[in-house]
Amino acid sequence: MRHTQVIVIGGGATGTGILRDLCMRGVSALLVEQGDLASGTSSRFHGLLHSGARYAVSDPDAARECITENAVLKRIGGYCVEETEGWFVLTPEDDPAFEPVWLKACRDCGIPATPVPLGEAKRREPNLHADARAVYRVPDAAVDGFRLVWHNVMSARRYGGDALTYCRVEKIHTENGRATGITVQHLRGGEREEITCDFIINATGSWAGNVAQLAGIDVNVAPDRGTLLAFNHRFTERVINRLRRPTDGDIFVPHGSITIFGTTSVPTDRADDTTPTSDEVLALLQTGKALFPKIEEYRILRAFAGTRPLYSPHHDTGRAATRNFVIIDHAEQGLSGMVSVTGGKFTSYRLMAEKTCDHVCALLGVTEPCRTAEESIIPAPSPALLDRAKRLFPAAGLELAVARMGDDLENAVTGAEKDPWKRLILCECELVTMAEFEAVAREQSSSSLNDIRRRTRLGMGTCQGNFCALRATGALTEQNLTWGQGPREVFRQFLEERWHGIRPLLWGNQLREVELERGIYGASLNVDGECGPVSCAPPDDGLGKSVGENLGEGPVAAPSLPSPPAAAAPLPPPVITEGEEPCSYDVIVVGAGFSGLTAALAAVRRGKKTMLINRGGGAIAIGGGTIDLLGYAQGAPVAGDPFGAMQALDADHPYRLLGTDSIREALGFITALADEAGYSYRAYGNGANVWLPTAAGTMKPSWLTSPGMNPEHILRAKSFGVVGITGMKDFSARMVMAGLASCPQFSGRDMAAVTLPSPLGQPESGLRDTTALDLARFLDTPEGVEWLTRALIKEAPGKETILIPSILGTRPDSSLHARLEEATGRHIIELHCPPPSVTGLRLLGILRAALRRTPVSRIENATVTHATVADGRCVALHTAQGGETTRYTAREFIIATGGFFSEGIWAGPEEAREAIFGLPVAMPGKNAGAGTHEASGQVEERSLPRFFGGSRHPFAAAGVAVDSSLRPVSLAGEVLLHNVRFVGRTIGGYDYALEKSGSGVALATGYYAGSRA
Amino acid sequence: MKASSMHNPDACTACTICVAHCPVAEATLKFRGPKFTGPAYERFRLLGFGDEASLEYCSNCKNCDISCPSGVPVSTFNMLARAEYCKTHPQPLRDWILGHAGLMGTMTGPFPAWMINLGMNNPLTRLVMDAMGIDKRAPLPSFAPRQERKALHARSALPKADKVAAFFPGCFINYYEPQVGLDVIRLLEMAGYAVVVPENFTCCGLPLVAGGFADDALDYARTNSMELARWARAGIPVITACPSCALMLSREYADLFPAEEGLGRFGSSVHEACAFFLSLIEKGELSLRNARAAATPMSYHAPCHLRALGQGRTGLDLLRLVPGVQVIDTDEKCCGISGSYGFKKGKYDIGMAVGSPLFRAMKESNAPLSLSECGTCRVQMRHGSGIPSRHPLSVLVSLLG
Repeated sequence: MRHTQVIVIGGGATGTGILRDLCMRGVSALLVEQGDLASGTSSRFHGLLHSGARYAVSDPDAARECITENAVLKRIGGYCVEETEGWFVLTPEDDPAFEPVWLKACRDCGIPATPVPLGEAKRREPNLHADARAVYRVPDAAVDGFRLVWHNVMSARRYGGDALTYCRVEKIHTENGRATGITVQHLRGGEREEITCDFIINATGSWAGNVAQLAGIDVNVAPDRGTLLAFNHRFTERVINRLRRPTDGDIFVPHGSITIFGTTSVPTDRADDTTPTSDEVLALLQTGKALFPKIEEYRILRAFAGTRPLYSPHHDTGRAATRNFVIIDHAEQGLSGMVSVTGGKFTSYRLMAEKTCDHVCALLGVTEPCRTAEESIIPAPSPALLDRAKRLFPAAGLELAVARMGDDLENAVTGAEKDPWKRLILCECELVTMAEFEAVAREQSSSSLNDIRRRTRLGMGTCQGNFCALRATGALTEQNLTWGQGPREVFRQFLEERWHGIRPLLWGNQLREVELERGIYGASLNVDGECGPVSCAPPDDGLGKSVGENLGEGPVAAPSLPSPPAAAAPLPPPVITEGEEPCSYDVIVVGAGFSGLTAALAAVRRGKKTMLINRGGGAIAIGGGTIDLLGYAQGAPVAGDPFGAMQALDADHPYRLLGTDSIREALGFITALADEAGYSYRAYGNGANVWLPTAAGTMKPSWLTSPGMNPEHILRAKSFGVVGITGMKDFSARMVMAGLASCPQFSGRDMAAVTLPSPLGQPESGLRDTTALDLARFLDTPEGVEWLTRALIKEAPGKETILIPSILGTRPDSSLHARLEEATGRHIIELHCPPPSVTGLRLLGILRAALRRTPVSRIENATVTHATVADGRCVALHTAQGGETTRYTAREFIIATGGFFSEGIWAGPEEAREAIFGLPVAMPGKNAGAGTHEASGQVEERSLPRFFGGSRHPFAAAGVAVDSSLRPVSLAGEVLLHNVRFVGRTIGGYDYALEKSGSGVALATGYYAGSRA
Repeated sequence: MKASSMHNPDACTACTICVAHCPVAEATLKFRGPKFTGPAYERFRLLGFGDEASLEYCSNCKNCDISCPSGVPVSTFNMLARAEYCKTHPQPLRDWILGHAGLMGTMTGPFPAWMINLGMNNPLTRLVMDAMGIDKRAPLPSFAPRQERKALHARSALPKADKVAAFFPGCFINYYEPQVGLDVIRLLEMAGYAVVVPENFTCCGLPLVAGGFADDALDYARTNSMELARWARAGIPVITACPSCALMLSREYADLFPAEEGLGRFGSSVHEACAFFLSLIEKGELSLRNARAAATPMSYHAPCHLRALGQGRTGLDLLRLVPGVQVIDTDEKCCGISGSYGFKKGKYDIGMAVGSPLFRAMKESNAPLSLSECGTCRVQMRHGSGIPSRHPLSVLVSLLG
């Protein structure tokens, strides 16, 4: 049985501060925490190291503590504190009478508050409200809660202490009125453990009442909930406070690469009441405008909430309750050997720890004085270590790594020295290297990506895990570190946690980011879905056929495909009729994604004078490049003929509107275009969907694929190998293998994973990290083909079928795959990878090659801002450039501007609208009444509490309502614009990510509109 | 003032579409790519971090801006960051010379073109320049004969006429191909315009921005903006046949110098020449009915900065209005020169790699003549393919004449 002098319960700032203090005094101590360190209130605040100025008027004692501890922490917590300084700003909305009161109070508390000339204020903080009436400088700073807590534990460990995480206290043992120990439950291992001790310190903050109750003691803590917002960038260089009595929404703190804004104050009865609401988010934004008028233009990454532990013996709540801390010796209540410490603020955590330890040490007879204020929590790394680190990390990365890693820097440096590939940047938004990631991942305290996130900032930047979740899981899988979970569970758990903070602000740019996430994880990788229909063909007797034989047979085209339409022949140059207004068009297509390009091609091939206007290159370059028709319907995988399954779709689904003949025609069109380009799209599923293995180790349903992605030979093969390439951080061969191994149809197969050495040079040479696109470009060259051929023959395991990432060239050229199969004597299957997408670029290549041969007029980099409409018809579209607009006229218009991601539809917190005509888009929201059938709702009603789970989020099918000719209609079904057709994701009524129908709908609607216009 | 006050990286979703479309990233692994050096790293620049080392590889071709689905001003982030970097890091003389091409041209003014060209293009000079960092293989353009430049600048007085247009030659036309300017003037005159070539305009400043000399560019921007204001108030359109000048004068001043109020206010009075002629045709002020068909097909390259202007492939659209003219759009991204990027040692090979798909497409078109609106594009196209290259308006003049 484990014994320690003191058990500290609670792994927040106070608990870890106490642990460090005790250990430095030579007391043996063990900390237990039910979650991860700093997963409670200590990371759920604004990260402000108070100067005390905020409390100078209302709570001078707290203010004095703050200014003292502020100086101490700046001294000892160098890697956790950024000395930004802080300003107090009097806005026109604030009571000017408070200014002199506050100034005097600051003086009385010894807090230096010096005026900043308004001109200087404007120059230094250009985003601040220009009408500020007065600005004062105080010694506020930013402090990183995650890091401070961890660094305290690292310091304690140097003095012999330790902390156990995911370890919940189940019982507090007492004997004769004295606490003697605890029983804990290890939440991750599942076992129970009894630990005896001489003393227990309950430092659980908002949870203090719950823990004290285990010993039968009442501690009245009133948790007070505060919600905060994290913004994508740093729009202030210093802490900005509002010069008024403390209330909601008056603190902005620049924090590394982001800005945190808070808070609210609402009494709650639960310490873990940490789900932020959209009402709180909107109220905060409203308040924040007084300081930062453009706040609504800044992107909120996420909202989060924490509970302040307000000690409330007299049942005060909210801002009326004191921010002071209390140390309660339960001897007064009849239990000796246990104290509870609660209340207080993050800034004074060290002082709380010191006072608590003074009290406890006196009882234990320990006379060592507190030294926590004198010694740096983490000593600076030795010059030798710093030198080694400098050689490994890029300049910016070094600074970040040194500050983040603390005592673990040595591990990260050693890791990168041993394997130069560990210098790759795993999280590009927060510049987290693979070396840092793995050093933390290997620690015993880490057992989820979230644990690693709190230490490294992995996934806490712009993309909120969209790119690094899969990448990090791959890295873990390569190291056999997935804590007994499958890869899917690892990254899904991580992304679900991110979703928790995104859901209440599902509008604007954050909604666009979520659409990207659904595109990658839903549409492309199907991480949500099954491994395919149960009826998947088991290995049959056709096994072991030589490649030559199979190649000889040629791919099987779906019998249902019609021959390409006659109109698909290349056109002669256009003939201009004399007297015709030369600058007006038969058809203008807006948008150059899959649907827009298809529409333009279909129109011009019918002899229409066509113009294509676009802003942005369309999502093709990040999409899968396969033609997915309908993989899921009614929440289940489509088992048989997807055309049959379409009949059961909702009546407003684009497939139902168009009818299957029209869809088959469109499939024939793209097949013909691909054939012209030298690429081949075929339906390999014998009348059913074809299920493709992906880079996530999942299976995803599709309809037309290239021969290189045809999965036939993995379904049949007895054995297969997965081949990765060193340095290609988005593809882990082991992860693919682990994922496929969990699919029933592959159970018992002989699989192996191999990683080829990189052909693109070493990471020391300062080259960028390798993507599938870089390798595919290398494969565009003869040397690249030579390399892969040799490498596959030499290094790949002797399997009959080889799975590789999609790197077989960027050009739409099916012959490369055939040549490689021939040369290596193996079946080769390309797997779709996360963006940038090689297979998507091949589809783009097909469309561009076709477009190049036509006289379509192309306007790039132009945003269509509005339209001229008369008598239910669109007359002209207007593009903006510089200060002026250009007007383009046509008889027919096709709008292919995309959904939320491409901004064809824009959602605010209150409503969503189509971008050009301002057509209403039904979407739950605050005041969704305007023009939509939804009466009213909260932003939360747009989505489901779980991001994954196979159910349709209400926002997912939001789009323009159209009739069977794809013309926009009102709620009553009347056609709103007679010569305008909508295509692709701008249309509502379907969920591309869930159904795996995105490219199918884009193709079918684009082709229909282009050939009818 | 930091860029943060006007531009913020918030619209970026990290989607990597710009990475897939960046021609420099395609040509070299040394460039970390537009997303990384632009909006992603901007978040760390705002934190006070020094610059991202691979930024020097950005050629400012703006294919990132053109491909971005989110409207992120990627190239603006990169150029402002480069300017910030250059404030504290001295730039090589090479970059000063290439950036200040306009000034260099002025300095060579008193000497006859043959003498300058002999001086510039002899092997010894090229070796010296190579040592300075201008690749000895780079296709430096030759200065034009003085009489051509004189003919261009003979129109410095404001003519008395109903319809007047001001022509902004820009450095390339001014020093290397004044004949293109004369062709544009001829076309304007055909459309009934009297043309003035104002003396007070300077270089648009774009080469300075690309070279990191933002303060010098700001001086030019101020001068040009005052001049633009003068013509805008007089209701006289300013025409330029250089897409990069058009982009800079009409759009970029406001983006690059957001703190300078008034810069870019008169940008809408600047017109790219081909777009201007398209609008004249639409209004019936110019007719191509009498143009004769060209005997041979021509290949066409749309300069990146023309595409960035958001008005289409104007020279192509214009020539395709001439009955019987066959123009093949090569539809490749970038020629690789990006102003003077492709002249620099260490960048020359990247520039040639960037341009190689274009050179291939030009050759495969079998057209004996190629077209492009941008002067340095034409230099690179000739150099990379061996096929002559002209401004579309020079061809149009010959078809009409």
